[in-house]
Amino acid sequence: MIRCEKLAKIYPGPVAALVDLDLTIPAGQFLLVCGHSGAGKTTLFRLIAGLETPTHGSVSVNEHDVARLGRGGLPYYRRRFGLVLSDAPLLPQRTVAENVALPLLIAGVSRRQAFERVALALERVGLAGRAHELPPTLSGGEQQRAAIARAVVHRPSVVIADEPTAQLDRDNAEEVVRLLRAFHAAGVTMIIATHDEALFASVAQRRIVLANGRLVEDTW
Amino acid sequence: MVKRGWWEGQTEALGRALTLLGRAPLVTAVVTLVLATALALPATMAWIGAGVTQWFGGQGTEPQITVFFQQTIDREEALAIVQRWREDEAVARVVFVPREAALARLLQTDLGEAIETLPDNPLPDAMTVVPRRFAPQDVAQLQQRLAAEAGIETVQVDTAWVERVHGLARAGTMVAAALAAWFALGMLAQTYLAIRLQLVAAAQEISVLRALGATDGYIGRPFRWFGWLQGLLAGCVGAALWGGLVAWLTPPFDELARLYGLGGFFPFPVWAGGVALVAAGAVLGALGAEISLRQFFRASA
Repeated sequence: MIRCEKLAKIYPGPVAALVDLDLTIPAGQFLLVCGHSGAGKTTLFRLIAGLETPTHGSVSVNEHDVARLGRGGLPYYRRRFGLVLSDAPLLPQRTVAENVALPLLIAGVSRRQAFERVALALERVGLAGRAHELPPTLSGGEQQRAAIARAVVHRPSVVIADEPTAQLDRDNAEEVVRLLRAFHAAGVTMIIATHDEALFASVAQRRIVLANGRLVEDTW
Repeated sequence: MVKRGWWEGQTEALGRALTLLGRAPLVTAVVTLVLATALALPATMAWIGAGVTQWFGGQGTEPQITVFFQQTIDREEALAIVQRWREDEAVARVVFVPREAALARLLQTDLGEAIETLPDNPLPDAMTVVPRRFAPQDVAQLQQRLAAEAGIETVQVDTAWVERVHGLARAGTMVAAALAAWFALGMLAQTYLAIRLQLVAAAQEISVLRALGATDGYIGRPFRWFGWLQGLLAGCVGAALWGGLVAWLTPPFDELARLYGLGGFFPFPVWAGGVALVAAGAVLGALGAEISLRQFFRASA
């Protein structure tokens, strides 16, 4: 379970990206995060994933406060997540397989076993034949599927995806939703930001709306 | 899950480091040449310095102790003393100077006319002693032992000269050491900059690795290998440059030594210097990378 209490992030300016947000996300939930650009979705995701430190308030996972992890503990905390964020794009100089293998290699899995699991993940997202190509040679939909493969290859407990269907045509977007639904069915908590709520209507269990860094709507 | 062994992690990082080195071959070549020069230059100066010190310590300028026998002892007794000192462990060689030979030499000087007027040869038998070790304390100790010998009147040694030679050698060694330290600092700075540039160029990759849960150790490993490899490469090129310089300089120095009767010019073996340069390059490269990484991680924490 992820709990955000009085969570705030104020950037120099000052710009309040997130203001006193209280949010509890039970394990295994499919949460849709909606709101206009600049509403605070990405900041919320970065705070939950431990990529940013809050100005005040706290994020805790299973009652453990992330702020207390310290510099040494944060990398291990981040490994619980599968990220599809613009902050974590596919690395253009590494092949698709090498990109997808990164979470496993970082976690210390043997190279042989890592690439066996990469092959399975790529097969699941329909990119088995593109494993040895560089990301810039893939289409937008293929890149997004590769990013999803990288997000789930290490079997994280939570997947955070920021606009995973943006700039994709309808078929590719539906394919991405189908994949996310499949991983959610396997017990993974899903936190998805989107502008296209209709696309996720059949799978989302909860919907929250952010506006100007505040939680303005929470629908179960 | 099967965890990776230490070697597998290091091999993977080494592969990444080789990729980084190969990505900009011209930059790698230029940096290697700069680092190699920083290594080879002080090494060459140290080699020349060691050779010149060897010359000063050589036979052409060795310190001599002049020993005058008492007028009261006869020739056989003097020769017995000479023989005893020839067998002494602290003595390289002894030359006996009979009083007749000393007088003949003196007559050829400006004092010759004055000496000729004397009824008898005023000079005693003498011997010159060349010590085996030239350090001032060794020469002084030998001088004391000679002075204590029965039948010896006076012992003369130019200790100031010995100290001057050793002072010069010490100064030369210090200059070489200062230069080596200076260039080592330069090499550290250059490696620091090279790694820093690599880190800046890889900023996006590092950011992604961090987001995926990589530790500083994992992120820094290829760059540590990079610094070590860059230093090793510079050490090898530096050793080759130095070897070439030594090969080029040895004949003229040998010729100079021959003209002054100083023997050959072989300060220390070329292979030993080469190995030292390669090792120094690798160590300095690794150290520069470590400093750069620590600073980068501290700044980006």
